[in-house]
Amino acid sequence: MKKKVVVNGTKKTEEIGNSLGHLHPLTQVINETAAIFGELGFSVASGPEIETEHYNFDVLNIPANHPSRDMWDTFWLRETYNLQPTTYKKEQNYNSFSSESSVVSRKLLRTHTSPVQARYMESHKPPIRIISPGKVFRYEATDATHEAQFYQIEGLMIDETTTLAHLKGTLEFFFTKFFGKKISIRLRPSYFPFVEPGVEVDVSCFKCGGEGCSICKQSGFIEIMGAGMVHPYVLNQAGIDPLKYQGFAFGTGVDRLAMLKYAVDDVRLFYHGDLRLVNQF
Amino acid sequence: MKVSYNWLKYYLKNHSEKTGLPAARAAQAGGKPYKLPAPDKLAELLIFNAFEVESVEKVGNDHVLDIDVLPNRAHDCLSHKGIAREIVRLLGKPIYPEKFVGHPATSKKEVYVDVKEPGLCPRYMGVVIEGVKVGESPAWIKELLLSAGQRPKNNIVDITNFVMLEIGQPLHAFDADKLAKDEKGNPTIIVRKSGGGEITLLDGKKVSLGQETLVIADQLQVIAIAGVMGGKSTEISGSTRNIIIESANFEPGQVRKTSRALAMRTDASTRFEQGITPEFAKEGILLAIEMVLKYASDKNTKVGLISDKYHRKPLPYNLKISTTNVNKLLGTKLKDRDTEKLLRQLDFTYEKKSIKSGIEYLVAVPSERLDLTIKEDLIEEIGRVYGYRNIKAIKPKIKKKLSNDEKFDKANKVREALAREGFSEIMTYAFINKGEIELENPIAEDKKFLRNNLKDGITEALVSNMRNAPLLGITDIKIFEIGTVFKKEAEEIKVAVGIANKKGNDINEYTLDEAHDKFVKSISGKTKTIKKKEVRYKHISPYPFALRDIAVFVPKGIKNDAVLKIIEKESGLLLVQKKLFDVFEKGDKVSYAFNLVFQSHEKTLSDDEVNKIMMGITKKLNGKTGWQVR
Repeated sequence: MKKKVVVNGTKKTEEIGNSLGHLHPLTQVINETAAIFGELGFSVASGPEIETEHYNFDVLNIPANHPSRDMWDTFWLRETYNLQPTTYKKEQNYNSFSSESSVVSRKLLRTHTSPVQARYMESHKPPIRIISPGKVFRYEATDATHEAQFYQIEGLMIDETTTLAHLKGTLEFFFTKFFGKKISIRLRPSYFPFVEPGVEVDVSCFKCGGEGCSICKQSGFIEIMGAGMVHPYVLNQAGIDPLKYQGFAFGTGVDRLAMLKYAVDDVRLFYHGDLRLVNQF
Repeated sequence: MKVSYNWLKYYLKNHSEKTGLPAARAAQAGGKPYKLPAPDKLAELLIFNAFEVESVEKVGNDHVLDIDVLPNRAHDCLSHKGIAREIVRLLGKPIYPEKFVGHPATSKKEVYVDVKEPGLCPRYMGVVIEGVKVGESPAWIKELLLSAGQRPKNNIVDITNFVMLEIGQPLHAFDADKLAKDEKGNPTIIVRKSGGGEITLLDGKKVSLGQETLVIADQLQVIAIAGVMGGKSTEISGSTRNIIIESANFEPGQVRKTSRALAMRTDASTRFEQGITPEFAKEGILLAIEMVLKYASDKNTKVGLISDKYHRKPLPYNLKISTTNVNKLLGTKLKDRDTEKLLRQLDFTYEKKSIKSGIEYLVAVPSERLDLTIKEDLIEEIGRVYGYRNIKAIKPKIKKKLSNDEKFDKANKVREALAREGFSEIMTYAFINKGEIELENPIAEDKKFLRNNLKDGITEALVSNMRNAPLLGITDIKIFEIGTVFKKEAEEIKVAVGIANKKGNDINEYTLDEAHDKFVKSISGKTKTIKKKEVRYKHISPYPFALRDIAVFVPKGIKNDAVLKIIEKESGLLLVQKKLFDVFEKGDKVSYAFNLVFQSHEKTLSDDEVNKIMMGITKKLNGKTGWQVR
């Protein structure tokens, strides 16, 4: 028997007695993203949420005692579980700065899903096309737009010929499908230790198409992710020859995508276990 | 960094005006400013080719640009000169040349510098200036400092700050008479590890020093924390007559450690911890001497000999690059002449070399560009000046997809299966007040541990959602969460499923495999997929909701929809949920009973307000022929 019911003023048709459950909006964004990238041949890779300093920082060209570490406010674990000295490949030192590296790899909550990429590159030979969705943690005060836990999706494409132009093309393809509207990509110079060049990625506003509205703060563009061409140091650390292979990486917040797409105004709502939110999706 | 637009103007001069004066003096001499783009245009130029500009603000007759200098450019761009250099490159203009003539020493006084830790202090320069006139700085210096966010103090301190903001080299001035002296009356400066102890700093704070902290000391005591802040005991005061100016270079890691340990970030430590070239030290001390002679002196002022302990002079080096390299990484179609034009625009000098595959450029890296260490760094420079907007998007060729991570797919199958059974997915926090894995730096006292189960989260969510059941229009709360739990041995993905209704709660937690076996296999064949829909989130009201029931007899044949329509119309936006919960027939009449839920987005609805609505509804329903509210 079909029947109209109303949830929070939204009319919809549900089957009484056997109504379907709702998937969390973040799950829906992750799955949609995975599906779109899947069309381009990207598969999903995962990794642990408790990481080592080695995979979260060192191999990503973020050495200890380097100011770039400040870009990631980190939760450290109290005890040093399974102390493991990390090994460093020193054949080609791309980093002129580091004067010392951590001898013991301390444990932490991963601050990004980049360690998934690092681990994947260690165990897979190019060509590589992966995305890595997952929960990450940042030691920071929470408010409507900041959470200490949130989801990220990162992407990685490595082969012999992938260029910054492909990054643009890939992201244009993704965002156009994701927002259901023709999207153009704008790159601005930026810096992340694991890419070179590093860029900030803006997308043309999916709402107004670039004319300026409240969503894009009248700018016509929305700042949406960081990206760049994988730093040769990072490739080298993972055992991939940087003279032969190259590629791009990008990373964005799933929560941010969901907030934009569904007009959710407070990131904390995602983690309250509240069906008043979930049942709207 | 706060950057003064007026300050920048003094740099960008007509190329014809080769005065050779440092900017400070050019300003004083009324140098002809270069035509700089308007502040907003300048910000745009920087945003798309160099740095984020957080804001452009008019301050007095100046504009202040708040520029987010990228961490890898802190070496050369945390200064007005650095930003100016960047701007002229982006504009494709030649940079205004500077010459520091230096000043002949007018006294024999000399700082004896003893660097005990050359590894941590690549360069230390010092000079004694006797007979300075401490007082207020000229207005233009004070104005520029204020624009850049610095409070003017006295001319000596202002000059040290000015030089830092001008070229990026932190300086420090000591009152020379407060330092211990040798038999010739020359002060000694020792750069060493502290070995403990404490110091009262310029800001009045007393801090204890770690054994390994790098400090500046005279023969008796510590007088400054290297690269972070000077001490109170040698502070410049109104009665200071003789000064020592320090222009040094400290190892970044050391400064960072100290600044972290003391939880103290200063303009100096920020610059040192990112790393700056020791070459800046000389420029800094020469400019400072010039300015002291100009703005804090009289005819008796004497400049001593400059001491210079330069232990680690950086070697000049080249980076090799070809147009092919650039195109291969960026996906551009540049020609050699484009590469050359861009290199020149970036103010790089280079040599051309013919190699098999064409031309190779040997690009000389300027000493301040510590960020340029590999070919890719140069390609980035070329790319951003060429303009990323000029790079055409290319969609990659489609490739066959490898299989996803097994757990990812498995978790999704469990999700779909549970949703088909009517369970909705929630997410809760990983931080809790008890568990097995403890955080070193929890965000709050009750969030010290990582969860070791999902059940607790589900239990709490069942309670809170049960409270909202009428609002949700459901009687059973059916939820699940799939997430990582953290045990001593390892982390693991778990699935927790919970039901709450009148009969009570039922909560179970499974491993991913168990959940997969239990739920996914039990619904064989059925392929009812969950349809995605366009959703726009509706704000959740923070105010309580009110419940009312209403039952009405209507003539047989009238549908409940017709009744609802009237109820809806009367209630307006305040009716957020309604449910038909009872229908029965009696003679030629039928009775419909509804649960109604009222809630406002603006306030707590009072009983009176809801009753008024109900009265309105009753009146309207009773007004229809043959209708009777029970």
